[in-house]
Amino acid sequence: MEVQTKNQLSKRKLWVFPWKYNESFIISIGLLIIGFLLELFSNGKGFNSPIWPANIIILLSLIIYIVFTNIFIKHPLIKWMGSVPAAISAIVIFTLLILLMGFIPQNKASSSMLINKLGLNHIVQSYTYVLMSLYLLIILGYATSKRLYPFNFKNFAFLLNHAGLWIVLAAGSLGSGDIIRLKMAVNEKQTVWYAYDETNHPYELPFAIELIDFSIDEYIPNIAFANISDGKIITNKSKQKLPEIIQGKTIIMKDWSIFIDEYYSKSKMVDSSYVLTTDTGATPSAYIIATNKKLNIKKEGWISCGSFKYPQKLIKLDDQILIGMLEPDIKRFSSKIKIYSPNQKVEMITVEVNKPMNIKGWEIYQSGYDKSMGRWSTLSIFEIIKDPWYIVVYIGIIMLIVGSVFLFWHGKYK
Amino acid sequence: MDIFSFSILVYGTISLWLTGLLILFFSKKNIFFTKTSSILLVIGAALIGFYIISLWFYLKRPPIRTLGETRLWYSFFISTIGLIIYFRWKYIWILPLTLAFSILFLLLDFLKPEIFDQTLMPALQSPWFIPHVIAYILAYALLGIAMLISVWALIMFNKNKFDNNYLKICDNIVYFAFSFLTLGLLFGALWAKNAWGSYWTWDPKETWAFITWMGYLLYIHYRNYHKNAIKIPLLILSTSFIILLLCWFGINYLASAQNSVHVYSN
Repeated sequence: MEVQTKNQLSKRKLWVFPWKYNESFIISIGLLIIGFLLELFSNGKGFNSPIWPANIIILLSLIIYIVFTNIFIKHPLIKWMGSVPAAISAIVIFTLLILLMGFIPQNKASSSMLINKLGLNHIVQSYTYVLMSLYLLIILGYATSKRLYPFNFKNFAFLLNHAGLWIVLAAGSLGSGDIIRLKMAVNEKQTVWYAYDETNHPYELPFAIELIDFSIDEYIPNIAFANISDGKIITNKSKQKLPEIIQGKTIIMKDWSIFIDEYYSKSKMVDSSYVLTTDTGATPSAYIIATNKKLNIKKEGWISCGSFKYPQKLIKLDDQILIGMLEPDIKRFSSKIKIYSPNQKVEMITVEVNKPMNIKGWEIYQSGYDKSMGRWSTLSIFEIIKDPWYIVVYIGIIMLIVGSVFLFWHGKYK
Repeated sequence: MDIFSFSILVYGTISLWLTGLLILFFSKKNIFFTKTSSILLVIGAALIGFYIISLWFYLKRPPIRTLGETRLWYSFFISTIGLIIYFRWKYIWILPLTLAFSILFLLLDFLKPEIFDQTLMPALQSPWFIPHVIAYILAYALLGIAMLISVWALIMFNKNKFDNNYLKICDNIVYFAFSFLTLGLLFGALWAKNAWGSYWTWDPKETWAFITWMGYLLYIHYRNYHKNAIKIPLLILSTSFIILLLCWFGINYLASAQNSVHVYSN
């Protein structure tokens, strides 16, 4: 059987319908080359995503054109568009382009002029990528539309997966031009209604933000031992987690046993010891008693990781080992903010990492703070994003999730 | 968490599953024995479910706050999914694989209760973290099996001992795995949107995950169209796994991936 079809394929003349792999790959590779040429002649300036309303017009005409031609035009070309060879050629060539992206560092100038000129160091903004995505969208569109009409419930999972992917790709790429991404830095007790875009142009928002309080929660700091000679941290076993500083705990390190006699999460330095405080700039500190039974030595004193206000404090155990405290890792940082709208409405909300808040179609993300001040930062940095297409993309993602569950449930063979 | 009753759960579940699996493997398709083993396996999974519910009452809040608690849920989900696949498809091999994962998570909670609250940087503290990782781990495990079968099938093909069932098994495994691969990718996208405001940024890991996904997508489409082809689909399957490995470990060494948010820290 298979040998026969292979012979038929090789005898068949090129460009005679029905088109198979040869035609599909010639078209895909042709588009790839056209993309590279366009990129070469536009001097690597790249492609700007269409914005509203151009993108919605392109999207709707694409849908209408695909569905209409699929229903009313019975040309073998239309049949080819929704065929597996076309799909496979599109998958292979698009993947090859992304494979280049996987190897060539993106968004920085390459030492090779050819890579820069062909746009291979900014593939996502290149004509090649745009052309190949469009080709993929059209092929995927025809494949979907072929099973959409006439409708058969048997194709439900197929449709969820293919239409879902089409929606995600189309809305994600065509909608990207409408995304507004701004940065805003607010000090505590300050009210700001301007945010800045990537080129540092101010942008007036339909609301103002007052930062009531910025706060950071930290993990318990770790104790660390370091070699005096090279300053490298040493551990008991390789890659073991460093011990936490917990009052009353004893830590064994080589011949040393270290007892943590006192631990303050917030303290200040007075003379050469530490006392509890809630003042700005407070630092964690611990009083440790270190004993070496082998050599019969005992050392005790304060260790502290320090803050912007107080210095770091270490203890020299012997000629080789230093003991100290590492700066605590950040557990959570969040901003309590007041939102003022023109209609006099005032809202109090909290934003933190992974928990953005939606205000009037704008999503407010907790992005950063003044790192030099650490947990005493009174400055909070927000990212404020408007993404009008997100609902469309979400619909596509949900369709794909349901489609994946169907794929899992049905498998291939019953 | 009450460690005493937790130890009963861990010992109980592990012994139920091990007995169930042993009976199943030596049952020789005897209906009485396979039914007994099924009952033991289901009770084992139900025990975890029961423990989660009692923990819920005990804590007076849903037990989803700490990582240790989420691991409990995943022990429960993985074993349940494994059992569903087994009952639905009669694939015995899925049982040791998924139950081993499930036991691993139970043991992690049991042996290291102090990592119930592990330090995680704020961006990782997301409800999507565990589903994202679990979906990928499951997919990778299944695709590893598919790769082994495909290599075996290629060897058999060269010895003219090829059996078409090899490809059929690969198909079903790839379908399961691909659904998890897609779910992992989508959960990652939803997470990224919540954490950074964009679904997809072509971070090197994302780029390679996409290439991996396309590799298996190619396999599925090729198999659908060329039902009698043998060598090419098997080659696509084994090559895709090489890409998967590149995506998993390899990108740590690629020049293009030096600033990726996904590179594992040492």
